[in-house]
Amino acid sequence: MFSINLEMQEVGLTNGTPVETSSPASTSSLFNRLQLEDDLEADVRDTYADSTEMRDLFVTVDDPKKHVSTMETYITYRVSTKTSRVEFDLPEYCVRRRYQDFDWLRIKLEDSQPTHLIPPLPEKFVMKGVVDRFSEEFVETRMKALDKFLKRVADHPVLSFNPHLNAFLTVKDLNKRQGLALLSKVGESVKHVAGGYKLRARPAEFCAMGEYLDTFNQKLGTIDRIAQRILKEQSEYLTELREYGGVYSSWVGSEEELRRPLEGVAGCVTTSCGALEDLGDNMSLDFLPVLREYVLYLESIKNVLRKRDQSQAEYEGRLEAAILRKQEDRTPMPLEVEKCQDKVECFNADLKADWERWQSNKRHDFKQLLTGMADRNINSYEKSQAAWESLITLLQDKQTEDKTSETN
Amino acid sequence: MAEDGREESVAADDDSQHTAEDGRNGLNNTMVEESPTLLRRMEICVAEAEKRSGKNAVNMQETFTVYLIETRPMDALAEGRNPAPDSLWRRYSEFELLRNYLLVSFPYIVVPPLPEKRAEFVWHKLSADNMDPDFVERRRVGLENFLLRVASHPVLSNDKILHHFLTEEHGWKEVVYETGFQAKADSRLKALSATFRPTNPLDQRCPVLVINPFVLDLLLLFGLAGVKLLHLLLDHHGGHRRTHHPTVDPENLRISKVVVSNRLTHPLDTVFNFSPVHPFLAASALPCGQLLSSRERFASRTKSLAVHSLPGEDVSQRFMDMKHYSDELQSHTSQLLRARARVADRLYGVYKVHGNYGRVFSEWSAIEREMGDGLQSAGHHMDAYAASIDDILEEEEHYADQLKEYLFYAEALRAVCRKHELTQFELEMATQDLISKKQQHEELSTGIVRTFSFKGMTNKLFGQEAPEQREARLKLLEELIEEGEEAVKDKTVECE
Repeated sequence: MFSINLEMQEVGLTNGTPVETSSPASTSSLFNRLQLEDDLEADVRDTYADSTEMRDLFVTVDDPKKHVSTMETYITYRVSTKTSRVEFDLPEYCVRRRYQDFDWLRIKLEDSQPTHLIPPLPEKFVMKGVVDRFSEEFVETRMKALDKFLKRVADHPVLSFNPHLNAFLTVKDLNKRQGLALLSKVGESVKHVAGGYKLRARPAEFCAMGEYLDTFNQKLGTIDRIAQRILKEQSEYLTELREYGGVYSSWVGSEEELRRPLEGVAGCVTTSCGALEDLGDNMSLDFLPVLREYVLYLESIKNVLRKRDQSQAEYEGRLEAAILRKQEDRTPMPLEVEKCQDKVECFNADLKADWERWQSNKRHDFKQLLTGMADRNINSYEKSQAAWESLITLLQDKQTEDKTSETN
Repeated sequence: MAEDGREESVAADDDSQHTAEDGRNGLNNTMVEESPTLLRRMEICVAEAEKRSGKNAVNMQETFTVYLIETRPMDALAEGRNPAPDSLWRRYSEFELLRNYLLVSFPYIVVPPLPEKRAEFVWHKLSADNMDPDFVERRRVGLENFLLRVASHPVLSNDKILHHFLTEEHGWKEVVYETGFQAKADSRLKALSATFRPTNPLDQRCPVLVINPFVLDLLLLFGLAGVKLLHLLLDHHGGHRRTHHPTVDPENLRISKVVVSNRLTHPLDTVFNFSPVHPFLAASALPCGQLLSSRERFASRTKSLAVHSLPGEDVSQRFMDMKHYSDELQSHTSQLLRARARVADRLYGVYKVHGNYGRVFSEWSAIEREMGDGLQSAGHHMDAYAASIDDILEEEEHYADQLKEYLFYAEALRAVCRKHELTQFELEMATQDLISKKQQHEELSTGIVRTFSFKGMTNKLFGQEAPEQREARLKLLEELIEEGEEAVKDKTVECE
């Protein structure tokens, strides 16, 4: 059910012998042993996420390319679609989209499906001086996030049937449609402000939701800060460690007979540095972006929660007004009130369903995140260990060498 | 604290094997001996450490640590008896005093180092606290190594003051002071601090007229120091084969020197014999410890020595080489120690920050239903990870200690070189002095003025002295010459 990647990498020893790195201690094998003890209920709920048997819409974002025009420079990505759904004319599509297009899609989704949780996009704005918009790392990170966004939308039972998504995936040139987006966005926000009803009491389950969001947001922020601090400390450690290895190398100058052992030690230190550096890079590329993505997700969920509150407030306000009027002149319940009631009930139902789905996705994502982190750490330490162990062999060989030369 | 492996059980061998036998010594601990070193006759160990309080020199209350030295006669052990050890308590300053005495009394020997007085090369967590139990333990090990090495040295081990140190708890200090070594130390110190340069470092006049036992001792010791410097732990078994055969040299003395070479290796061999002898050494089963092999080192050094140890050979060049080597070693080990301290500091930081994960995961687990347990245990693991760094770094301290030993050995070696320079310088001064006195003597007795001198001038101007005066002056000069010649002799001996 869960696909966990075990990176099997070639580990080089100081004498070039590759070494098996998959260790019995890796998290995936631990999982395999514990599978039977897993909470069945949790499993059932988690099938929300990965019901591959039932999926009939597959999307992928890849192949970034730079476009240079007189006005601007930007990156486009290839969006590939495979589907058997009748809503689509063709079984396969392939279009190129830029970030702007994704942004447009998200806005349309938010507007047309306000009662649902729309997945977040990666940050729109990047400070030009601080981050290089065209660096490989940045583009790669952004692309992965866009891919995740699209996949989440495609997996959503309601959102995936949205006509805007259809257009996004199939239409060659989206630019014409985008003009409308701005206007409609403005329209919606005006409508919301005009509402102006105040909510008295949020139902318990939504209260709990709100509290959870706040606390979770806090914790994510803390984890992000800790991770960044660790990366910083680690890089300073690496600097010192490299210097340390260098002393061994320069020592060879005055101890010619010890050349091989000393250089061996220096080599081990270098290998350890490399392993640790890779670990740090992986953390930057895979770990931190997920944390940030969820922070954005939480923000958007909070917005939806607020919208729900507003619709409830509107209903209750209208209801109150209607009741007062009814008491006065016995007119039947106006239609708007009923419509509002429907709206609130729909909203609550949609939100609850999405919430459950979101929770299970979140569990899956974080499980993957943390086990990935553990695996990478194990990997890194194994590389270092292998290097040092091969050094021991080298030293022991040298000792026996010396002994035999002694007896001659 | 009594650890079995720590006791040196050296099998006593037949002392009557006087001849130049060797090489039969395989990988067991049998030995060929001429004059037994102390270690052969006595088992020594530094068993425990205790805190004491007392009044110090300025009558203030202070706390210090004392170490228990236990000794047992070897023959008793060989016979299978297991007598209770004799023991006494000594503090670090007494060890220091002993070492200073040895340094002054045997300036030509590389005296084994003591563990450091204060914790140097610390990184931030390790406070320079001399009362810290880990520090005390490592110091105990270092003191024991010191005693074992001194006791296995053929020359040092026979010193009476050393015997006293190991057997008489009270009154030892007074005996040491009575030897007056401090006066010698002071004069040496003054001379050392004066800037001087031997006028001709490659001067062949450094007389090695007689193959003096000490010359070769020194050179072999240097070789030995080189070896031991480089393989403080290891797999260095008891049998050391000779790396060269004695050249056809009629002098019997020479052959016995070669024997000396073997004999020298053995006692120290057992000291550094790897597990199960010494927990300190055993603990250094770290990869870094196995770094440096002895064989090659010793082989190369003795080879180079064998080539050059002919009489009249340029000893000074060797000293220059030694000095250069000790400088290099000193610089590298201290660089290494400083770099290591910085690395330890950073690594500590990395681990401890992970501890923050522990807290946040735990807090996060509180708001989760299904993920709660997993996050809790993740948090615990993070805490365990953060805590593990303390043990890791403490173990590394042992490695740092060995590096420090190299550092101190390099310093001791350097000191020997400097002392050699000093004595050479003094020798030159004395020789020159003697020459000039002889010249004066000659002038006076023959009345011939060889070189221009003030005396010559005054003679011409004022006439020659009365014969009586001349006699008196001659006599005086003769005495001075005799003194000068004595001084030269002494210095020559010392040089060697």
